[in-house]
Amino acid sequence: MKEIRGTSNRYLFIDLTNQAWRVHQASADDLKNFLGGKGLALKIYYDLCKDRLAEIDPLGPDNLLIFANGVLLTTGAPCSARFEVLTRSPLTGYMVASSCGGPFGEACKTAGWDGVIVAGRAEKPVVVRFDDREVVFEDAGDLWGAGTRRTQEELLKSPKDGAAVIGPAGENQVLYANICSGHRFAGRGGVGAVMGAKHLKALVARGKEYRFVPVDREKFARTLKKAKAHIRRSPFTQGLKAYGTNMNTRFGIDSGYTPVRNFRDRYHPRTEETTGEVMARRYNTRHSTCRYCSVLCGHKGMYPDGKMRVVSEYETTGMFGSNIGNFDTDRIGVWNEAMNDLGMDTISAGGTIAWAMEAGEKGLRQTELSFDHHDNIGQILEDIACRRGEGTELADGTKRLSEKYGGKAFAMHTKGLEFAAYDPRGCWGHGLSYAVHNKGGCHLGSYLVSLEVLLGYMPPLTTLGKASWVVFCEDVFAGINSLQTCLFTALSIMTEPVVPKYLPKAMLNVATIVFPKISQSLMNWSVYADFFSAITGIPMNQWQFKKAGERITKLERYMNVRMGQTPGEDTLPDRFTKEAVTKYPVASAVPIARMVRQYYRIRKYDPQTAGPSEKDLRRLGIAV
Amino acid sequence: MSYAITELCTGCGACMRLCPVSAITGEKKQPHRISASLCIECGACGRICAASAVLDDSGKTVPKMKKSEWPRPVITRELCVACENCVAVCPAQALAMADEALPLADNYAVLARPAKCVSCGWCRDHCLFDAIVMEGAS
Repeated sequence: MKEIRGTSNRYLFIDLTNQAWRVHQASADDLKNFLGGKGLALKIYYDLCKDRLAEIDPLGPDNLLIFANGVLLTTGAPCSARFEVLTRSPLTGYMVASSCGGPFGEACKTAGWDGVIVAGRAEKPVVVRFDDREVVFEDAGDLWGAGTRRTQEELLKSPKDGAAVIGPAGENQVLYANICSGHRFAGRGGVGAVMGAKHLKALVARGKEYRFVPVDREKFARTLKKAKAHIRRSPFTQGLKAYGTNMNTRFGIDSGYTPVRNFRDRYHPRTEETTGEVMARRYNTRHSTCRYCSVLCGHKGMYPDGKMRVVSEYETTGMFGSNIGNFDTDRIGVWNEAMNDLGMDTISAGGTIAWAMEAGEKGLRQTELSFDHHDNIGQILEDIACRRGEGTELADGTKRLSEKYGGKAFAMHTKGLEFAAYDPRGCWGHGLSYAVHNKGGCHLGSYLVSLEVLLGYMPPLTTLGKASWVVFCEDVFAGINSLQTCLFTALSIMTEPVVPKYLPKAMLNVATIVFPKISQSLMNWSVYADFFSAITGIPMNQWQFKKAGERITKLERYMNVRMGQTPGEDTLPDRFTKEAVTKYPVASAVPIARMVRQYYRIRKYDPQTAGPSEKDLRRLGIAV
Repeated sequence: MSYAITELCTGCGACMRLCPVSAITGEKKQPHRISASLCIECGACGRICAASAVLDDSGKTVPKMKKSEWPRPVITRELCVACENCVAVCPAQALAMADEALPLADNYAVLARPAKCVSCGWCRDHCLFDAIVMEGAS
C-alpha cells in the first residue's frame, strides 16, 4: 500500500455532461484556512462558482455536488469515518452541507482522493466507479428505481469498495431526498435530489490503495490517547452507548422540548412509551455504528416481527412519534427502514407530514392524513418518494406547501429546512441556533440544547449569553465538521476542562450566561487543533482552529446572501414566538428578535443584508 | 496494488480455495492469476503456497507459513464494547458476536470461525477500543 503523509489535497472533478474527469488540486493555503472536509468543499464551491452564485439552479447542471473527506479520515482518530456532502440546496435555495459516517468516505480517501466534485448532468442515469487512477461511467440500467439497499448490494464487488447512492426519492427529486452510504446518510437539505437531478445513481470508490500517516506521529499518538480517554469517560457518551440518541426523549419530557402534534403541545404523557430506555429493552438493542466510531450512538434491534432493523434515531422517533400523534415505536422502525431504502430525510418528511395533518385539521387543505390514525403513513412515504398523488406536493416540503395553502404560522421550518425534534420553547438558545444557522432549521448548527438541557450548563429559558454561545459553538462545530469528526465528540472533549467538570452546576449556570466569553475561554478544544496540526504538519492552536470555523461560517453566510438570503429569514415561525401556552406546564415563547439582534452584533453582520461586510471577510483572509 | 502469482505456480488451487474475496482464478494444474481489482492484499495466498509462487505488492516473495502459526486476532473481552465494527469489516466473515442473548453491555466479539481468518488485520485496524491484537500461535 502506498503512503501519503498528511493528506493528498487532490479532488476528483467529474464532468457528467461530457463523461470526463480531471484532478482538481486544492492549495495548501486553503487547507490551512478551511481545514478540509466541509470548509474546503465550501471554498472550492465558491472558487468555481463565485461569478454565478445567484444564478445557479440547485437542480440544474450548473450546480456542483461536492463530496469532501477530512484529514482525520482513516488515521484511526475517533469517530472519523465521516465525509461531507456540500451543494446548493433545492429545499432552501442556500448552501447546505450534510455529514455522513458511511464507508464511501474511507474508500474514496484511500483511493487517494480528498473528495469528489460532481458537475454537469448525465444524459441518462449513470453509475460512476473510480479508483486511484481511473474513472468509469456505467449505465445505471435497472438500478434506476431501486432502493438504497439493493443498489449497494449490486454495486459493491469488493470489501475495498464504498458507495454513495440515492434511492427513488433522489431520482424523483424529492426536495429532501438524502444520500446513503452503508446504513448511514447525508440526510438534510436535499443533497440526494441534486444527485438525482444529475442522473447520478451512485458513486462507487475502490480504496485501500493509500495509507495516510500523520506528519507528526508522536503528537498524533498523544492526542489520540487523550481524545479516546475523554470520550470514553464522558457520561454523555455512556448515555448514547446505552440508549442511542433516543436517550434525548427523556430530557424532552422533563424540560418541555418534545415535539407534539406539529410542535403544538410540547408534552404528551404517552411519550414515555418512546424513550431510549423503553426501546432498548423492547428491541434488545445492539450497536450499529459508523466505522471508527467510539461514541456508539447508532443502534439496531430485534423487532416483534422477528426482523433485525436499525432503531430509529431520536429525531425520527420524535418526528414520526409524538409529532404526528403516534406512540408505536414498532411502526416508527418500519417507516424508518422504508425511508432509508427510499432515500429520504426522516426529519423533513416527518415535519412535512405533520404540517399536512394540521393544515387538514384546520381545513386549509384536503388530506387523508390525520394525527389520529397512521395506517396510511407507509403508503404516503412511498407516494412522496415516487411523487404520486398527494405525495407529489408533500415532496416539496413544508415551506412551499404553506406558501401555497396558507398556514405559515405553523409551518415549522427556517429557510425552508424543517426543524429537528427539539421545541425551542424549552431551550431558547436552541431556537436562536435554528433561526440563524446558514443551513436552516437543522439542530446541529450550534446544538445549544446540548448545553442548555442535555448537559445542563446554562438555564434554558433566558436570552442572556445565548447569542455568544451560538456564535462560539457555530465556529467550533464548523471546524469539527471540516476535520471531520462526529459532533458528539465535542460534548465529551469540551466538557473535560476542570471548570465545567468540577464547578457546581448552580455556579456554572450563572457563569456561562453572565460571563460567556470567560466561560468559553475556560473550555478546551485544543484536541481538534492538535489533530489537525499533527496530521498535516501545519501549526495550529485552538483559537486559530476556531477562527477557521468563523471563516467557514462567514463565507457560507456571504454566499447565502449572494444567493438571495434576507434578514427576515433568520427567524422562527409564530408558533414558537407567540404561542406560549401549551400542554407543558411552563409557558414559554422564544424572544427570537432580541437574540438575533445580539447575534448579528457579535457576528458583525449588517442588519440590512444579514451578511458580513467585505472588510470583515478581508480580516478573515477571504477575498471577495 | 495487488499480490501476483509467478510462473512457479503449480495450479494446486490451495490459494483459490482460501481467498476470502474470490480474487483468484485458474484451471487445475495451470498457473493461476489474481484479479488486481479484487485483491485485498491479505497475503493468505502467499502464506499457503507450497511453491512460493506469490509476490506481495512490493514484488517480494511471500514466505510460506504453517496455518497454525498465522497471526490471529485475540480479543480482550474486558476492552471490547460490542460495537461490531470488526465483525462488519472482516472480509472473511471470521468474526461474530459472542451471544446476542447477552445484555448489550456484556456482549463481545469472538473469532467464531478461526479457519476462515486470513490474518489481514482489518479487525485490529478498525477497533477504536484497543481490544484486538494480532498474535501468531508460535
